Amino acid sequence: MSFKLKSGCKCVVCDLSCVDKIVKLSLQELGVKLGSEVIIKSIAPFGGPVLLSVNGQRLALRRDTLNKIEWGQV
Amino acid sequence: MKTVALIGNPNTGKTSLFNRLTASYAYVGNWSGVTVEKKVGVIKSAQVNKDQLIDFPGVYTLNPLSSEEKIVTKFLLNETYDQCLNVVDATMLEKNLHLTLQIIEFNKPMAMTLTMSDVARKQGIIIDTTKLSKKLQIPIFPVVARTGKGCEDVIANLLETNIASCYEVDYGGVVDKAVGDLKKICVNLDTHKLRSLAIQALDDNREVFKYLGKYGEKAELVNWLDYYQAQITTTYNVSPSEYFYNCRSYAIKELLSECVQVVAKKVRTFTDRIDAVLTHKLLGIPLFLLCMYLIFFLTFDWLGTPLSDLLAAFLDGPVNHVAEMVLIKLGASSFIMSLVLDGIIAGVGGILVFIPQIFILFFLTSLLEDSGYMARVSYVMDRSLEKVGLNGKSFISMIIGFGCNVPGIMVARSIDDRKERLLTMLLVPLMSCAARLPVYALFVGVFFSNHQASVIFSMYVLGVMLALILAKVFSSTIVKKNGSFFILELPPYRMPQLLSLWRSTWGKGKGFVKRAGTFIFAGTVIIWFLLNFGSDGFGGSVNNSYFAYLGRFIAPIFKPLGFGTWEVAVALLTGVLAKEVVVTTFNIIYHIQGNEGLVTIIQNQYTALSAYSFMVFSLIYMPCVATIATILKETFSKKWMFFAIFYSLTLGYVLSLLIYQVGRIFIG
Repeated sequence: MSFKLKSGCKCVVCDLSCVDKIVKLSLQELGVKLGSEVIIKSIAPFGGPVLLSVNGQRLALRRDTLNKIEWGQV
Repeated sequence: MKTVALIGNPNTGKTSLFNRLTASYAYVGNWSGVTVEKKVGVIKSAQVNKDQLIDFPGVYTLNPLSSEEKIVTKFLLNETYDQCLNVVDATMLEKNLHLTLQIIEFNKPMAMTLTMSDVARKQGIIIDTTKLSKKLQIPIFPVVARTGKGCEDVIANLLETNIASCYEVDYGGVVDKAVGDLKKICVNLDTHKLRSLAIQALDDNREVFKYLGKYGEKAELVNWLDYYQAQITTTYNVSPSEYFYNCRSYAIKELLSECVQVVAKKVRTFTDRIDAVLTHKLLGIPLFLLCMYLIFFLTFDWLGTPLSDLLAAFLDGPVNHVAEMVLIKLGASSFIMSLVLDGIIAGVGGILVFIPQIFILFFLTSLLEDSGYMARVSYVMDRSLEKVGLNGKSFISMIIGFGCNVPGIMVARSIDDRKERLLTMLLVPLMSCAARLPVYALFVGVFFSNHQASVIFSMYVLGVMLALILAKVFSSTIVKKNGSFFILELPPYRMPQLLSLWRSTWGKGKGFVKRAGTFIFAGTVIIWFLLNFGSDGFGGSVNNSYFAYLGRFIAPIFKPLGFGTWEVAVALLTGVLAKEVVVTTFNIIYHIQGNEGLVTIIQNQYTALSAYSFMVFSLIYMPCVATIATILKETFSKKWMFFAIFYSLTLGYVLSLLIYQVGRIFIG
């Protein structure tokens, strides 16, 4: 179940099975894994990447990667 | 002489620490992937032992994903070293300790420096370093690399550590059995090392597995790996890499719960407030363009050019006169006098006058990097770049390419996707580098004196636009690729440390000055020689020199572009050596011809239109030899090197042609 991600919302990573292996490992290195809580900080215009905050750290992610992750509400 | 390896996550202030602990320079960028070359420094200490500190690229784990991060693992496996110094960001303990635990497993003497300890305290994070040190069984030094606080302690105690930690993470029964079995296959391997190697191998570390091949039968090792990885998957229901990560996470959580207290947590930080503006949906890109424009104004109109003019006056005046007097006093022949005054001083001096602009530009771009703004730029520009087949990280290569194409191409190594990396490397030469500045500065000084910054800015913009267009073209045809990803860590904004900034600027600017002293000096002598010898023998008219003949042979090609004289042809030829040499050559030719006013000559031989056409051509026509060599080295392919040369020449010619011919229709 994915829902529309808006700036300022808090969500939880529920499922990473659709994500590429390399991407999954990169995310893991940066502390994003199953159960991680994430705050969406801002969304770049024209379909650009999304800025989110995890454990006090800022990450930028492209939308197609973001959409492959299943998010849940906190 | 002892060797210490400096290892840690990216963005931990590792290189700042390196600067504090050693007496050598390093290139510092507050952004993952910039520090890609291995750096060795001599540790500051009272003894004269010449103990070494080796700086490594920032890594999150020993089993990394990109090729240059493998340097760390390979080093730990194969090289001899005495100690590891692990740099940990006190504000990001949970993430950083993953690497720490893996290094501890390698069972070599180790110490930890906790950087950003002042920031941690401000964020309400209180770390009991004594307790943590006891638990992990390694010495821990809190430092503030920015100010140098605590660094003396590190230097004093660094090499006192002789014993390795015995701390172990519990990975469960399956892994213990795997280690036991591996012992039987790799008989000669040290027991402690064996455990860490087993863990790394099961965790999919290819480098470690290759290393094990030296101690055991290949076939047996493969069986062992397959069997135990499958066991882990079935027993714990996750992949091996996830399993090991989870085990470490658990161990880390335990450590943190006993040693760290979080007293208060600020919700909205300074960084967030700035980011709200700089990465704003609508303001982001315009603010960046404004920022770039300001940089150009500072580098040229406001600061750079006035300083440069002063330097030029100094070289033309006092330096020239003194040199002349000395030479006359020494009874030098006219040959030598011409060589020194018309050749070396005019030629090399013509380049040195640009030192003010070069250094200011390097300083400002270092400021952008060190403050953390560069990463935001990458974020803001990623969408535009994605649409043409590039990556936000490509943008960093391009910005660095504005300083010098060579490091710009090398930094592209941090781009994971092979095709995107290749594409970026091929396009960096279109970025107008610092060496091209003297060429522009010369011509805008004459023809566009009231709009210097704007015209030069247009060169940079042209380069970027061409790069974007070609990226689209190439990625749909020659360098076609399948999807890629973009994950970027945005470090908090930091006030750049002045010392680091200076070292960063000097490091980059030094290259420019060094080139003047060597490459360009040598080129100057050769050019002077070729211009002074000809059908008239020595000292005859420049118009009859060997170089002139060569020039006249090539010149007709450039006629339709608006600059078909032999002097230009020759200058462009020498420009392949290093772009600045174009100006050097002009200076020598016209100096020898006896005219003092290069400016007057240019005014007579060119029009504003042909000047612009020439500037565009010198921007594009061919990368300098250093860049060509770097492209070859980084792509490992002669094919792409020649392609880079070919497309540059073609594009440069066509564009210059268009500008000049179309311009003539309008201006007449």
